Amino acid sequence: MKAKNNIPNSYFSLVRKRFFANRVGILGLVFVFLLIFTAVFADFLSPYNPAGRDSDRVFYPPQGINFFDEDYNFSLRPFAYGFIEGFDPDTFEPTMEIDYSQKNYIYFFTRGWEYKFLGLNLDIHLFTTKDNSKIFLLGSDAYGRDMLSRVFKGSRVTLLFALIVVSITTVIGILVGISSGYFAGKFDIATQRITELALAFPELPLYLSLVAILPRQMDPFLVFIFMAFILSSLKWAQLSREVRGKTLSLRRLDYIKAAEALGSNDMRIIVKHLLPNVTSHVIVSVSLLIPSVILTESFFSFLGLGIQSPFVSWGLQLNSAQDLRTIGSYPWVLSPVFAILISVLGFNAFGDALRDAIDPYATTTKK
Amino acid sequence: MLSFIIRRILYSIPLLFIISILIFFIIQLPPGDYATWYVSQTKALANITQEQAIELTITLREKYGLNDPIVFQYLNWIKNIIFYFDFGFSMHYNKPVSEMLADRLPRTLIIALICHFFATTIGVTIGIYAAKNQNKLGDNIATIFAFLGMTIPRFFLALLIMYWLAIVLNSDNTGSMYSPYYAVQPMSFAKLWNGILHIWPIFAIAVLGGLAYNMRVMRGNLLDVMRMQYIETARAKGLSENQTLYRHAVPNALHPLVMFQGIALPYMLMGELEAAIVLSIPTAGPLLVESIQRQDTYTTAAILFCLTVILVIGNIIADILLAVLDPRVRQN
Repeated sequence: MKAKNNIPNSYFSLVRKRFFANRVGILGLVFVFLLIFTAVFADFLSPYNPAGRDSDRVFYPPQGINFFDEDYNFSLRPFAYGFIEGFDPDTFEPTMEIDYSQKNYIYFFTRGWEYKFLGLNLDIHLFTTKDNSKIFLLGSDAYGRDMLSRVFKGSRVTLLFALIVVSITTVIGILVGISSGYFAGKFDIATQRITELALAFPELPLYLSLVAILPRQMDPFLVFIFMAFILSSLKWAQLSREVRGKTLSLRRLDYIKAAEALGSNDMRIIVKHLLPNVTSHVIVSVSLLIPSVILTESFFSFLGLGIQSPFVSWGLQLNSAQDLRTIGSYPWVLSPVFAILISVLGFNAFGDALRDAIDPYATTTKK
Repeated sequence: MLSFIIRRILYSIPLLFIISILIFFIIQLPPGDYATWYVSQTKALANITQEQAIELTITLREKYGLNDPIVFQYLNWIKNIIFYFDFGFSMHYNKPVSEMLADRLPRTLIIALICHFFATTIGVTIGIYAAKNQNKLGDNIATIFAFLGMTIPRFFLALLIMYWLAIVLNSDNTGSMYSPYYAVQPMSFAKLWNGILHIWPIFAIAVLGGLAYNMRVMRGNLLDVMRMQYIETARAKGLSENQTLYRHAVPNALHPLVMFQGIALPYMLMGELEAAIVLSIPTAGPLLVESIQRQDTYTTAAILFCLTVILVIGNIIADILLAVLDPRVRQN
């Protein structure tokens, strides 16, 4: 008999066990970790300055990494061939021919452009090239900026934005939901009407209209903040509904009555007894809310109505893809979409698995 | 039943009232009004002096009641909407907003409703199939499909289809409602077919997401219902598996789905808008975005208002349907 077996499993160890039994959930978790890692170490991972323009290397196609050159000579240091720009004599379209004489070698953990990290001035990078040679693993954009570095940099703004929106939403949602469910009566009726109002609005058109009234020449940072508030203006309603429902059912349970009988005040009951019991539900809602915020932000920035440069977000990078000719000639401008896809799929898979782990009896309908 | 319907409709009137106030404030927020815009336009085109311009501003403000207290302005605005379906004047397009809405909004609504129909019927069918074959190959494929359908960004799908149509297939059927030839023709089957050739990507994109949602909800509900005791009873009295399923389980599993339609309609509408914006098919979506880019506030507000009213009506219909299906709802 091991003593260990006699200790009952805590709630969270049960949740963890159920979560890690779900392979899709683990995959989602890995994606989420990768994203956060990328966002934190974006500068270190980026081979070039995301804002650095290069008029000599406009719309370079993605370059492949080689270990063997055209004569099958092996090189331990990976390299990518450069391009010769030319013109198609018939159509006058610019063409990119691989230039076998030009090898751009990749160096790992070397010095490159300077950046700030935690107040330190650093210039070390995971990989970069030397001596004015460049490689673009995802191609370059209309200003010759490295798409890969910009995708890394974009992860910061996109995730930070989602984080801000979700934080505002969660705080409002929990406050309104718990107080509405706990105090009931007239207060509940009043807040429920406001919640219904927020739920009645069509999301996309309302956000668009609110974005429309922001002044045009606004500071990009202020636009970022206002956008976050605009997107939070409706999203809290759904969460507060769910929290209220949960609180209503908890309130009827004996332990709350016992707490009341023992003379706990409202504050204590809410913080000590109700909040911990709605937390798991809120965590799930949050992890499923993040992808929806990412999608909305990307769509707005894609339309040119969201995040403004000099900030970089995935959606904003796709803004140039609105023009069909650009996609037609330079399909790699669509590459930030895959970053969006990975994050949305990752957070969704993670959230779904977490929901199943936290509440194994709930079906997919009860979101 | 009738009292339920009346109560439900009366109940939504204060909601619409508050919504209209909020939207009116959205219109009022940007600096400048119709008069300043009109005068600056005239100044640019007709070359009038500063004094004339100021005079014109004053007369225009008088004429349109822009000097009235804001409450009266609001009453005037809402009165025109309710009695004359007049949403004001589009500054960018230089014609009444209602004219453009009459052109664009029905299209959006029809497309969204058709999408809604297909998404529901196909989604429910696949949902039943998936629940019947729980954890088998078909169910797994359907689940993965639903997951992808819900998570892949719709504007990305729209871009992809657009790229495929315009670049790979070199098709002419993009970026408009009809081909130039049919644009001026009266409605006919050929024109309808031509229209479908242009707007099918919207159907595909909006239906995919909605169908995935419906499928998930239906599958979950049905699995819940199948665990109930009365299903066991139905089996025990000798009904075949299919009879149990279609006579007892499916009708009961449909209730939450009907309740869910209140959420599904906005989702479909948003899907239609998003796809139409990217594919620039002239429905309400592109008009909305364009009016925002041109800061054409009246048009923006009108579209927002109409879409909100549609959603409120959609919710009423969903609630009434639910009351018809489920006696517990109408008695409460």
